[in-house]
Amino acid sequence: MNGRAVATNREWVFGRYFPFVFALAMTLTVASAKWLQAHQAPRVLTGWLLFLGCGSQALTWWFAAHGRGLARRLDVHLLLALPMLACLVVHVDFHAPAGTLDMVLTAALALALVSLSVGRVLVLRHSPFVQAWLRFHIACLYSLCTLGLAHGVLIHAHGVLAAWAVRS
Amino acid sequence: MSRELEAPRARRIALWSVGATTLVLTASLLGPSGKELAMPGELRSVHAPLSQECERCHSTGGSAIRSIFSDHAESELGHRQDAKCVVCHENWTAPESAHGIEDYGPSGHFHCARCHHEHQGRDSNLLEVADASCQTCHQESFASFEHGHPEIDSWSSNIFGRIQFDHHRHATQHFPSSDVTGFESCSACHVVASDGAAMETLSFAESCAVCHEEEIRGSKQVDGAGLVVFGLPALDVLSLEDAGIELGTWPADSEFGEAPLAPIMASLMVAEMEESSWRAPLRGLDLLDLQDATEDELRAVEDVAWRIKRFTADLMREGQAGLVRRLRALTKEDLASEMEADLCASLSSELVSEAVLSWFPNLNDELAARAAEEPIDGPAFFEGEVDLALEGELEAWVDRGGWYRQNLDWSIRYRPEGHADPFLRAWIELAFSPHTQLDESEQDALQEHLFSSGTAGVCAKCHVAPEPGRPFLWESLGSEPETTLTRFRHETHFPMLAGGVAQGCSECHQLEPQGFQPHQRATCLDCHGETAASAKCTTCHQYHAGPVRDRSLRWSK
Repeated sequence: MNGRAVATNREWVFGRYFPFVFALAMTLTVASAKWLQAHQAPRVLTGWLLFLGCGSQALTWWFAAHGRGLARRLDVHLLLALPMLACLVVHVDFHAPAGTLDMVLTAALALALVSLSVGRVLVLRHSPFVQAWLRFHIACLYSLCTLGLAHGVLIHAHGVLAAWAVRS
Repeated sequence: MSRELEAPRARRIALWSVGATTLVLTASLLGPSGKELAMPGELRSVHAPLSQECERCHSTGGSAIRSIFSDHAESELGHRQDAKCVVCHENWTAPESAHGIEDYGPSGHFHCARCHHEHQGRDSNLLEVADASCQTCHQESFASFEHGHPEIDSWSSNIFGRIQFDHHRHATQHFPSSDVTGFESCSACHVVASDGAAMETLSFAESCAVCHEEEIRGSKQVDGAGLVVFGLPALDVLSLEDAGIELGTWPADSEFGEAPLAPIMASLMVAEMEESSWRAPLRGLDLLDLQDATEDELRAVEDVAWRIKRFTADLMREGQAGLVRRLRALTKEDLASEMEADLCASLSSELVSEAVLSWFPNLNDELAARAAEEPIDGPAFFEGEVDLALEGELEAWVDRGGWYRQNLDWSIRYRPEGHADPFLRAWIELAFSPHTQLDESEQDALQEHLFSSGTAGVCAKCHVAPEPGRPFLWESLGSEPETTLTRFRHETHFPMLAGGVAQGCSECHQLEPQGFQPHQRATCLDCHGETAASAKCTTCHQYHAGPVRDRSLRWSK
């Protein structure tokens, strides 16, 4: 099997049929949600997992070595996105985000995920826009991490937001 | 062309991105709409006034920071925030315990926010709980009410827990014809409660008194309409005299005088004694035939007889004050004044004096001689004169309740004034109270005397005795819908009944000779399926179902 064939197969999986892969991820999410919810503090647990997931992806870009395994790295990031989706659904307890900050955070997450998927497809297609697109993805990812940190401190460390609200 | 992004460039992008996001975020949070931006969604309309006062619901303590890193700290924080919730929401017993039961289940406490999600918008429903939340603990879960839910088979045996009423016999034997006005339908006795949920039973006066009031007043009692409160046992005085035992005067036995020592009087005598086993030697002894009794048994009879004399003398001298003192000693705690009044029921000095002096004409002299260990004069027993016609008149004279003397069996009796007679009610509550110093056999005797099928007042005909150690509760279960795990709103379902409210009850409540048949889940599924009315767990079940509140507060001040 030559390199072209492999690329074609990957494109077949991550490109043309990505919506189905995404649907599979959501199915796994719902299936695992009840198990996660049975734990005492599912919001805290899954919040930490989400933060670790985003942070690890961000760090791989920070320490990225020149010319090494971009396609494999994107594959790993996409695979990591599946449990992170499960964590997200449990973290929000099946409720759509209602706060402005939370909606911005969710939008950043969605943007990071979509840009990651599109980036993977562009790499498979040897597109000339790969580097430009990856810069956009990195910007989304680091914004997501910043917003996630703010969200964690303000919302989940309840007293911080309350104390800030009292003083202001 | 390299497909890889160089690390320095990636770092610059990352730093610019973090910096720009931080800048925008900080500017937004410090701006005029900072709180609204940070708030994770609008509060429900009832909580909307608190939108600018986060600290009213959220704790600002040090564990707020630690809660990010530790479940334990988050649990502490949750407890403090729950305390803020119950400042206003204090309706429930142990609200953060599963089903209101302290330390129930493996998970212990559940914080309010676990199920009640705020910040979901003005019109959000805080009471809406996902089935998945229930099934977190209820591991033996099922897909839905339609698929796999257990049958509803416990209703019939639970609903009449404290009132025993034979619906079938009333419907088929006492009121077989619908011509009997008022009994042609369930609504003759049952009405929907003001909240539309439970079906309440009309009061005794409204539904039962027509047939049962006279029975309660004792009109059908074979051994007298009244309850023996104070009474003397008939003794084989001749055998005691032959054994050299001095009793002084004692009323002669007669064919009517075979009553044992009245349990109420015995309980009052026990009250001020250190040990209550003084009656034990008499158990199994025929007090009317003491010829074969042993020396110890005869001495025990003598002891009891003199205790009775001292008690009656005290009763005559002290009256209700002495009774209250003994009642307080009996119950080991202060009684509410209302309870004390009910237990005495206006017992009169004249009645007691007349009765005691007719039983023991030389009582004071005998007690003085006994105390001085001097010989006791007088006959061993005397024949009382019993006028049977007068006896009947005495009982009839208190037709609407009260005290009277019965010379046939040397007793002072109380005739119930009707349903929920305060005297009977108070004494039955005392008899079943776990807070008396009666031993088990004495308490059994008192309960049997007050609460059996043949007792004056016939309370046991409808009311059910509580479990051992539990206080007596008179009300039916229907008055406490908020304490049950399952709720049902009757009023909502009336329009579904083909026969209307008057005749449609039997569509769900099917009466058979052995009682009501269990409900059929299929009946509910006609509407509560997957496509029609709601079939969520919380449609019928409520989480905050605390234990029955202790209703024995009446006992203490």
